[in-house]
Order: sequence, then structure tokens, then C-alpha cells
Amino acid sequence: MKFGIVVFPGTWSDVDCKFAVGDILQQPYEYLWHKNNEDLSRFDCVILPGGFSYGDYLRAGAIASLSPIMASIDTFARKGGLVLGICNGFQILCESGLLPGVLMRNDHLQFRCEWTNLKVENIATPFTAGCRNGQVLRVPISHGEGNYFADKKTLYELESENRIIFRYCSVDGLVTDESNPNGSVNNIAGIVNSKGNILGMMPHPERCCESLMGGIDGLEIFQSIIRSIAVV
Amino acid sequence: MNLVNKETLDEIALTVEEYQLIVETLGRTPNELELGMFGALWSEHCGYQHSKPLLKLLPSKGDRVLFPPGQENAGAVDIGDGLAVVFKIESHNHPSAIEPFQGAATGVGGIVRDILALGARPMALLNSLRFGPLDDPNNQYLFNGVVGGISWYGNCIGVPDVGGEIAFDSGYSGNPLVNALCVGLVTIDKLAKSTVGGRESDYFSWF
Repeated sequence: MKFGIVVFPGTWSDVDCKFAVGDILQQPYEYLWHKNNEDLSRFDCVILPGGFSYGDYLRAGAIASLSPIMASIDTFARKGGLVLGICNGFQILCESGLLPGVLMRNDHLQFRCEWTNLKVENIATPFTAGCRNGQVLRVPISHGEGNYFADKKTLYELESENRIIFRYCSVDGLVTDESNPNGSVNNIAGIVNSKGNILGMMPHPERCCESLMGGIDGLEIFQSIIRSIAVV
Repeated sequence: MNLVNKETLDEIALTVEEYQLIVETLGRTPNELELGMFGALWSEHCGYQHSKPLLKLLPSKGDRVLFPPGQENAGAVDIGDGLAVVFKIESHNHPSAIEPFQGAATGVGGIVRDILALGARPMALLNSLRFGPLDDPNNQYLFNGVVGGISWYGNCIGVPDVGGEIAFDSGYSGNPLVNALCVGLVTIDKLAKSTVGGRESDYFSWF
């Protein structure tokens, strides 16, 4: 299972992703510089990590979405490769049109760095295949622009096609207003594309893969990815 | 000979005695640029005039001290296993009083820079803050701005704020205290000095 970890100027969670997949899960990985427009077929999964690519100038992820590597990722995804966009990575995927919708400023206008509970809504994806339906994962967020929005038509598609993979919920798995940390419509924390091979999520699974960090629920997602590719 | 009036001295916050000391030291009156430079460098923010005598009372010697206070951009202590911990704290009071968000943010930026200057990787930020009571809207404005600025800068570059202290007292109304600390880690062989050696080849000139 080979992971590619994309690095834009201003990305800094690349090291956290390397720590999770390379050190803890002992998987082969490579850093991918954003300027490379190359064949990514040697990878099983490409990660777009969190951080502040281009300082969030213009809009979060806007400038990064124009980088040469995004064309390579588009080709890679069309051929069925797995793409995982975390936080800024999710923002970049939305800006580049690989995922629908947009991440706006948190409704309360503050940056929030805190633990959230995520309800796993769909386990028929490579990213959640090892989870139980309705399982609650405890994963931290760290963002100022995580307020997911999509128009009514897009929302209807996402909901009816079961493409909302994670929703913010209470510790008991109840999807409530109180458990929504940023105002995201329908408490949406993570979605997939129609093909189900590109996932974008605002919370950081790579930051909860070791009990020293306060939780290991992030492993559920990475191990699902690893198991899914091993099966193919 | 006093060729400068009190208004000018007040603008750059120098006392008459300080001005006379400048004239004595230079052997002549300073020009406008020189006067401005003395005013800036002898300010509390740059020169720590009033804080220095107090800071000197703190312990700063030890076998493991690699860079003592004042020598480099930050202090460095050998913590074993070939590693050094590097840290420094700096105040940004007046910038924050004038423009709380950017004043506090640049306080963090500056302190991170000091850690980077030693070749170390910044690991964490801490802060020590003082404000006037928050029922005063101006103190609330300063408080919101400072907290926002500190968190914003650290978040953007991925260095977390892991601790701090805060207290409120009417003495700080309009005069907040904003102290930012950064701690970093480096292997001792990579510790960088800013002082240049004695060889001519170590110097270069700008033209």
C-alpha cells in the first residue's frame, strides 16, 4: 500500500500524515511536490494534507487547486486511485471541482481546535470499509473555514446517493446542532465523489493514530484504506 | 548645548538626561536620523531599560547553558542525547495596544523568528497576558484582538499554543501586557550562531 503525500507551499500536516501512515502503520510513502505533473499510478492512495497552502490567500485552497499536480491527481482518480483530502486538502478538492460544494468561514467566525465526534454514515467506501454502520469516531478539528455548504440540488444528490460519509454528532451518535462545530449544512464533516474514490473531510484522522495524542480512532480510516487496496 | 526642544524629545520618548548622554557620547549633537534611532533603541520594547535590571536577577548560568541570555536571538540549553532546547519570551505591549490583532500576531511572528534564527524547529507557543477589566468595551476590543492575533499566526504556520496565563486588573486598562514565548528543538551540531568570526572572509558589505 503506497501512499503519496502532496506538499504545497504552506502545507504543514504532511509530516503528521507521514507519521501516521509511514511510522505508525509502516506503509511505504513518498512526498509529492505540488509542481510535479507526473504519472501517479505507482500509488494506491494520494493524500492532500492539512495546513495553509499559499497562506489561504484569495480563498483557502484556491491557489493550490491550480498547481500542476492537480491534473495528475485528476487522472489518477479517473483511473480509480484513492484520494484523501484532509482539512486544507478538502478545501483544495472543492476548489478544483473534484468534490462539490465549498468550505466557508466557520459560522461563529472563530478558529476552533477541539475534539469532535463523527458518525460514520456509509461503510461502503474504501475509507470506511473497516468501520461499523453508525460508529462514532472521535477526531480533532483545527480550522477557521470548515463550514461546508452546497446548493439544494447538490445536497439532494449527496444525501440520496449516500455520499455523506461523516457527520458531526454527539458522543452518542446523535446528529445535533450542539455537536456541529462550524455551521456545516446537515452537519456534514466528510463527503465522497460519485465514484466513491475521492474523500474530503475537515477533521484530522492523522492526528489521532496514537494514544499519546489522545485517541486512535483515526486508525479506523487508514486501516480501511489499507485493507481495501489489499483486497483488490 | 541643547539644540532640541522638549516636544521633539517627547515624540521619540527620550528624556533630557538621555539626550545629554547622547551628545556626550557622540561628542556632538545627533542629527534627526540618529535621534530617531536612539529613541527606538532605548525604548522599553527594544532596550528593556526598566526590565533589564529585574531580568538580571534571574538565574542564567549552568553547565548545560549553551547560549546564555542576550548573546544570541534566543537561549539554548543542552538537554542530553545531542539535543538542545531553544526558547525565548518577548513582549509586544505597545504594538498590541495600538493594533491588537496584528500587534499580537507579529509578537508571535517575531518570537518564532528568534527560534528559527538558531536553526531550531519551533515546537510550541505560550503567552502571558494582562488586560484591564472586560466590562470596559475598549479592554474587550484589545482582548479579542490579541487572542485572535496570537492564535491566528501560530495556526497558520502550524505551531500550537499550548499554555499561558492571563490576569485582569484596572492598572492594565488600555495598556495590555502581551508576552509571547516560543520553544524549539535542535540537534546541537545544527545550532546556529549569529555572531561572525574574526576572519575578514566572514564579513561582506552591502552596496
